Amino acid sequence: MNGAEETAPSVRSDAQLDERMIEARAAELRGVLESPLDSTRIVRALTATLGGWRERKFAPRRRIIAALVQAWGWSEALLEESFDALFAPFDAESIRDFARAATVANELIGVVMPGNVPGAGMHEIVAALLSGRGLILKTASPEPLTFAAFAQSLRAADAAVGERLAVMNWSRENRAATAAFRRACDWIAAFGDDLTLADLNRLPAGDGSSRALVGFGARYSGVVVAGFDRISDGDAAALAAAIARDLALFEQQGCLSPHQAMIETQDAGAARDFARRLAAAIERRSARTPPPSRFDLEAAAAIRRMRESARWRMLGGDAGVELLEGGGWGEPYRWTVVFDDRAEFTISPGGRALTVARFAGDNELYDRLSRFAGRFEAFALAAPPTRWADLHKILERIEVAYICKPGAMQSPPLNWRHGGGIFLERLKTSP
Amino acid sequence: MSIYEQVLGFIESPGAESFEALALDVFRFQFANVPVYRAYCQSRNANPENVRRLANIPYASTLAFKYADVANISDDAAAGLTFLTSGTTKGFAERGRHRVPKPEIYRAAAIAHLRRMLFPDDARIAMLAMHPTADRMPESSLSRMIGWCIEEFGAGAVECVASRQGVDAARAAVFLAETAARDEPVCILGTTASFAALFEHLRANGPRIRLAAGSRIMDTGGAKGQIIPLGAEAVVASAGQLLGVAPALAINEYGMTELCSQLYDATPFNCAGAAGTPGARMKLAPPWMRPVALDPAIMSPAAPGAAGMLAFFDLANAGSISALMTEDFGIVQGDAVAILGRAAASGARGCALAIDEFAERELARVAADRR
Repeated sequence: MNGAEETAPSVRSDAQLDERMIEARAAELRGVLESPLDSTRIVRALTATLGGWRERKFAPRRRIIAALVQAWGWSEALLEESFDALFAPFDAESIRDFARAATVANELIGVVMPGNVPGAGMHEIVAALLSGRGLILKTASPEPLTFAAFAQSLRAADAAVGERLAVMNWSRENRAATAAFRRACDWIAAFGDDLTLADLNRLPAGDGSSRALVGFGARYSGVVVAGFDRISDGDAAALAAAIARDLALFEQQGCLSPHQAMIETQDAGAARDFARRLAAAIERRSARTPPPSRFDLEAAAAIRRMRESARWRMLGGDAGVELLEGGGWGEPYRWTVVFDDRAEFTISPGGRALTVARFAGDNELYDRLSRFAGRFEAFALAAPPTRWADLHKILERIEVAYICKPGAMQSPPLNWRHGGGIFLERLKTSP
Repeated sequence: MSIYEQVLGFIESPGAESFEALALDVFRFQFANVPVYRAYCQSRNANPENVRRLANIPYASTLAFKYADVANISDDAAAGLTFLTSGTTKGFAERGRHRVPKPEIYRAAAIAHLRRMLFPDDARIAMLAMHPTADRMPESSLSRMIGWCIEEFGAGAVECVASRQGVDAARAAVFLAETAARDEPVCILGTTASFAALFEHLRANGPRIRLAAGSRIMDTGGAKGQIIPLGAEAVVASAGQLLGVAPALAINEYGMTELCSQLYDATPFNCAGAAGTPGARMKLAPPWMRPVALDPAIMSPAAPGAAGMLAFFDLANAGSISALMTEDFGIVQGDAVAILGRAAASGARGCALAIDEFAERELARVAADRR
C-alpha cells in the first residue's frame, strides 16, 4: 500500500507510474508555466497554505504527523514541535519579501526529496514556487507523505498555483521513470540518501546536454559557546535547554542538527559540568518529547559505537572523557552526551547524541573546526556581544551557511543559503 | 587444574554439556584477574555472585582492546604474545592490543578448527602464504596463525610471498605454476586483498594455472584494504576460473585480533549438507565458541533469525576477555553465522547526500558491473 495515496490522490503507486506518465505530467506543467501567474497570487496561496501548516490543528498536518508516528516510531510531541520549528519562518511578511526579491523564470525543476527528515526541502520548494518555477518532486520511499499533503493543501488554497507542483513517487528500480524525470526537467536538485541519484547522474538530459544536477552534500552543524566562564547559572540553564531543543527536533536527522558543542573555557571542570547540565536538559526534554520507540540496526549500532568508545576510553583511564547515557543498561536509547575535553569536531551517530568539547580562544576554535570547512550547515552561537563579530567571521571563514542563536537552529529563514546557497544561486541565475 | 588447562582440555575434547559451566568459570577468572573487565562488569552490576548463566555474562566491546589495557594480573607480563589490530583507518597509535598470555591455547584453537574446516581430509600439502608470516610481522595474529597452519598442515613446498610492503603476486604465480606442474596440491593462505592482487596479476599475465586436485584457499579480511572490494562470491569464482580451485575448497575465514578463535565457511567439503552456493554460505564457529547476535540498543539477543551485532563467548580468550561484541552485523543460527558486514561509524548524514559520495557509489557500481 502506498500510504501517500490515502492522504493525497496525486501520488501514484510505483506500478502505475511509467515513463509516459512522467512525461505527460511534465508536459502538463510546461503548459501551465506558459501562462505566468501574478506574483501576488502565488504569495497569497503560499501564505494561506503555509499559514495552515503552522497551525497544529490544520487537518493535513495532523494526518501527516499521525502517519509518521505510525511509520517511523517518532513521538507525536516531538513531531509537533519539529513541524512548529520547520514552518515558523514562513510568515506572510517573509514570503512577501522573498517574492519581491526573486528572479522569476519559466523553468521546470525536478527535485529528489530526502527520506530521513519530514518536510526537509520545504524552503527550496517555496522559494522555487515564489520564483515562478514549476516543480516535479520525486519523494523518497520512507517519506512519501509530507509533500504530497502539502501539494494537496496548496491546490486547495489556489488550484492554479497548486498545479505548478507535482508530487510523484517511484522506486529507483523504475529506471524508465527516472530517465523520463531527468529528461523532462530543466534541472534537478537532489536531496536525500537515495540511490536514484546515481541513476540520475548516469542518464542524459533530454536535449543531450549535461544539464546541471544540483546536489546537497552531507553537512553538519554545531554549537559554539564563547566566554562560558562569564555566563550566569541561569543563563547556562537556559542555554542547555536551547541546545537540547536543537538536538532533539527531527531526531537529529537533518543537516540542521548539532553534532558537537564547543565550550570556551580554561576550566575543564566547568565544561564537564556544563556537559552534565546539558545531559539533564536533554533528559527533561526527552520526558516532554520522547525519543523514538525504535531504531534501525545501523543507527543503533552507530550509537552503541559512540558509547562504547567513550566508555572504554574512560575505563582505560582517559580522564578527559565522560560518558553520560540516557536510558539505563538494557533499556532503549534516550540520548547520549560524551564530554571529550579536546575532541576534534565529531560527527554524531544521531539518536540525540552530542559531543561536548572545550576550546580556548578564536584561533583554537578555527583550528579545531577548519578541517570540516565547507561541510558545515549551521552553528548556534552563544557569545558576549563584543565577541559576536569576530566569531561570525570565523564561522564564515569555515563556510557555515547559517548562524543562529541556540534553540533556533531548526528554523532558518526563507532565504537560508542551504548547502552554501547552491539552490538559491541557481534560481537567481537560470536560465 | 588451572582454568587454562581446563580450556585447553575442552578444545581438545569438546563437550557441549560442559560449555556453560566452563564459561562461567572463565568469567569468574576474568572478573578476578582482568581489572578493566572487572570494572566494566561492576559498572553493569554484574559479578560472580549474580552471574549464574552464560546469558548473564556481560559482553565487552572489542573497542576495549583499543582504548584500555586488557591486562591479566595472574600472568607473567613478559610471557605470552601481544598482537596489534590492523589499524587501517586510525593509524598506528590507535591500534588495539590483545595480549595472549597462553599462546598454546590460541594455537590449539586455531589448529583444531583449521583441521575441521580447511583440512577435513587430513591433507598435508604445499603452502603458499600471501600474508607475512610471524617472522616478518610478529604483531599480526593472522601471521601467527598462518605460521601454525604451515607447521601443522604443510608438506613439500612452502613459501611466503608477502612482506610489510605488500604481496609479490608475480612470485606467487610462479610458485603456483610450479606446484601445478608437479601436480602437487597447494593451500593458499592470505587476505582477500592479497587474493585480489593475485587474481589481477593472473588476469593480466595469464595463462591460467590449473592447480592439482585438492588444492584449496583460505581468504580472510573481506573488503578491508581493497580499493574495489572483491566479494566472497567473486573470490570463489576467480579461484575456480584462474586457479582451478573447486568452489567447495575456496573457504573464507572470519577472525579478528581480539578473538583467538575463528569461523570458516561451511561448504560441502567440510560440512555435509552445507550450501554449495557461495552467496548462501554460513560460517561455523568451533565448539568452544558461542555466537550471538545482539540488539545493540539494549544489548540483548536479537530475535531468532534477526540481524544484530555479532558477539561471541570464546573460551580460547581465557587470558583476556571471552565475552566480546564485535562491530560486525550478522545472523546467528546455532553455531552458524551469516556475516552481513561491518557496522559503519557515524558518518555522512543530514538532509542530503553529497554528490561526491554519490559519485563514489557510482564508481563502485561501475566497478562491480565491470567485474
